Amino acid sequence: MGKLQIPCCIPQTSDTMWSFLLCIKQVSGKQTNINHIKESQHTVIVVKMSVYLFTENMLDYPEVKKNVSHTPEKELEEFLKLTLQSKQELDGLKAEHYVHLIPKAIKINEEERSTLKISAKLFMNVPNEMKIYKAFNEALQSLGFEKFDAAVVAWPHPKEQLFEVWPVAENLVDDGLVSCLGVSDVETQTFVLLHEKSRLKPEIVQINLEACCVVPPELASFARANDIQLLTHNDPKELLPKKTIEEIAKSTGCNWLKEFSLDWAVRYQALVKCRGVLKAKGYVIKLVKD
Amino acid sequence: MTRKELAKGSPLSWQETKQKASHVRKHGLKQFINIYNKTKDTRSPALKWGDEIEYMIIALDQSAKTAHVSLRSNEILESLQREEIENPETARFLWRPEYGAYMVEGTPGKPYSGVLKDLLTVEPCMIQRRKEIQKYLKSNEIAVTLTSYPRLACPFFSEPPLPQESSSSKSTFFPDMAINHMYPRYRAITFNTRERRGDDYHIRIPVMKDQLTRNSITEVFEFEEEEVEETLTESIPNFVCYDSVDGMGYCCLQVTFQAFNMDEARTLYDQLAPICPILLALTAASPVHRGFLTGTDCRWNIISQCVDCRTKEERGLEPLSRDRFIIPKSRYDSISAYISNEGSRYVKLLILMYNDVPVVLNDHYLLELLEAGVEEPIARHIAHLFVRDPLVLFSEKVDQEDEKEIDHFDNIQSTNWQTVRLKLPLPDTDVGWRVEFRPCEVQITDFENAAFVCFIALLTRIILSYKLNFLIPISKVDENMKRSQEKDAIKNCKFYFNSNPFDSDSDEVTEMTINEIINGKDGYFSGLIPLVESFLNATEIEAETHQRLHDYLRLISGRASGELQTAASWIRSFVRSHPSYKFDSQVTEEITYDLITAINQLEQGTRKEPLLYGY
Repeated sequence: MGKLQIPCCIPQTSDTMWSFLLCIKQVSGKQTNINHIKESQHTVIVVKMSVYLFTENMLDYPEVKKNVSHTPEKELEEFLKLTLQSKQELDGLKAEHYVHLIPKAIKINEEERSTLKISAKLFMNVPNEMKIYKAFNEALQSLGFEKFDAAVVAWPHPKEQLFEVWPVAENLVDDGLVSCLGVSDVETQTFVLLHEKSRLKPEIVQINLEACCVVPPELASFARANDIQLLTHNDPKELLPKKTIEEIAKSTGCNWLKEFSLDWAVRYQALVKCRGVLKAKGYVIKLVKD
Repeated sequence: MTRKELAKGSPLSWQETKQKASHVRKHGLKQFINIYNKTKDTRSPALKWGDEIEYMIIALDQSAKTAHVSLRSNEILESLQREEIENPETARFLWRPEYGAYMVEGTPGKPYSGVLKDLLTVEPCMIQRRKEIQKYLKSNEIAVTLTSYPRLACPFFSEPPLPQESSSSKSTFFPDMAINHMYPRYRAITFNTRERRGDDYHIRIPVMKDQLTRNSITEVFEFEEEEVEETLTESIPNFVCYDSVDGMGYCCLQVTFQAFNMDEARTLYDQLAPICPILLALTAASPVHRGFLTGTDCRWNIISQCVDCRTKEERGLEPLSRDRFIIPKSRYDSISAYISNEGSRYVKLLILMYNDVPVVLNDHYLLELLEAGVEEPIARHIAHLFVRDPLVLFSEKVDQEDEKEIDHFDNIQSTNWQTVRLKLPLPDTDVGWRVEFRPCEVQITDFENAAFVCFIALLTRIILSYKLNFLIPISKVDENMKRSQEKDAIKNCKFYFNSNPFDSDSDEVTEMTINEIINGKDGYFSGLIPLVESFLNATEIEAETHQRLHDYLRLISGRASGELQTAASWIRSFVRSHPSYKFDSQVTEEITYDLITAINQLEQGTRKEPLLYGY
């Protein structure tokens, strides 16, 4: 369980870094190979500009489960604190550009995959069409899945931008990374308009029951008429605000983290469809320096 | 979900049954080993589950202001069962007789699925079932889901009124004709249990002392002109009695879940066992017995004593001479041991430690099971169940082909009535390993029944999703069972509970109130309902389903916090605030009539009761 310092002839951009990292998964080197490192919970890899934190299935962390009944933002905060708390690895280390939180690949065979519904939800502090594709793609790669059965984009952002970025989401489906698309935190009118205008229509709309108590009747009838799943969530408008990151930095002693903000976060879960049992849950997160 | 077929055959006499006890056990064991070996690796990819509700048929007389149990259940059943006889594949509901000739049991025709959205179909299914029964009722009859008919075994409690003829039960209070006579099983169990036992029952239920409750309760029976008097001094509480198996005339609510495989079934069995007393306290609905307000809110201990077939020797009251074992519990009681083999090393160690009550079992059977390759915890479980004699044996079923038939195994298995029951797959069908959850009292309305049934279903999902560990020592589960049945247990009692079910490497058994267990205790335990809520959010469930589940969880949360009354406390306040109540703990015919009318109105929605429902 140590720091793997990789020599500096490594490409510097995050993209190629990603594939590089995935390549070295196969390589067993020194006394600690990447697979072995990935086995343990709080492992860190520092590669030049970025810190990579590897995590397990959230459902396997007792401390996280204790907090499972808290709000998603609290649960994520606790999860991040836990992941960063392996102070030894991080002592003296800091990231210059990015901090990545990567879940360990989930091994499932073909047979099991067909029984699962694997869905993902994207959170962005600042929306950007590039992020949409990248985030879901990177999440799939690190998890080792071919596609998400559902991908929801949280959109507590201006509605005009949604129409602009939607084609990128459609590309995810075109490229076979996602089976169906969804959106959350939009008003009924916006959703109806999106549904009308888009080439590949959203099949899921999520609402926050705590915020609106009752399902808006127009949305309900629109969903029924167009075979759209009307689901609930209890995510806040901002999943990982700056304040929370500062709080995490303070309580874990990683003061350099104060200068980072959320670039994007993808929350994924795997549900055994016909048994109603949650198999896996977690986050793929990218923090960027301000 | 298949249901055991209730034979209408010819039961043997008790003497003959007793003689064949070893035969039944010997072949039952072989049958078990046979099924076990065929099905131990059975996998059932889909969750299928269902509920069972027991109804009472009540005949109302508006002018006389009486509400008596109507003994027409067999007639009604005949009509109800037509659908499943004509179209077994598409029957919407399945109907079965029960102990009382006034009782009917209904289950969904097809099990509910494991798709979470389908939780929304539970209540409509229950509502339809009730409507279906109503089709075949007379104009003065209603079907109620009431755990305890307040004047059960009181004089003339039935319609038609019955003479006190009780050759089966030898009961002073419960006439034979009130037992379902078309299915010989019930009479046979009644008679045989008492025969086997050898001595009289002394089932005493403490009367709730009210302002003017007399110190002696005199029971007068007009048809016998006999006075049964219980005179006790001031220092000992008064009692009402049962003296036979008539305790089985109570109604309950059961839920059965199919597990993915044997390991999951065993995990659910174990994890649900400590939850049983919690749900029993929450669903408490029987404060009135034999016409009196009592100090108990639940039926479990009463039935446990009524079906107690142990001889004096087995109860440890006399030295063992004819009987082999001292058996600590009645055959109707909470489980005596955990049986799973899954989980972390810590959990496995816990199971060894927490199986801390003596479990009597037959060593020969244990050896036979182990040698046949049965895993030890299961072998011990079966060897424990097989300590019992069969209570009823049909002549048609005595000789069996052990490879093909399972009646002898089923005989012993189905007459061990425990809080949770492990059910084996049916070979050559797609029915897999199942766990039956049996402690709940049935609630007055389908809304409440659906709420509890869905809550339990969701509990099983969070146990499996979050790999929760609720195990506590069995002795503490037994203690919880006692406490859960006390009057106002939710307000007054604490229950042993593992307040750290998340860790696979540690646990913390403490005493908490039902409110803390269900709603949480800040900084200490999140609470079962918050856990369920966050599971629903994590699975991104459909909004419509989530809303209804919210209503259910709000109900249970209110019951747990005391903001809403349990059925038992509501019934008690109804009685005590009735204009003709004399503060003597007695529940008269008139009070019973008004109570049952009110219950019916609550069920129909024509009466509001904020104390029960919050609106």
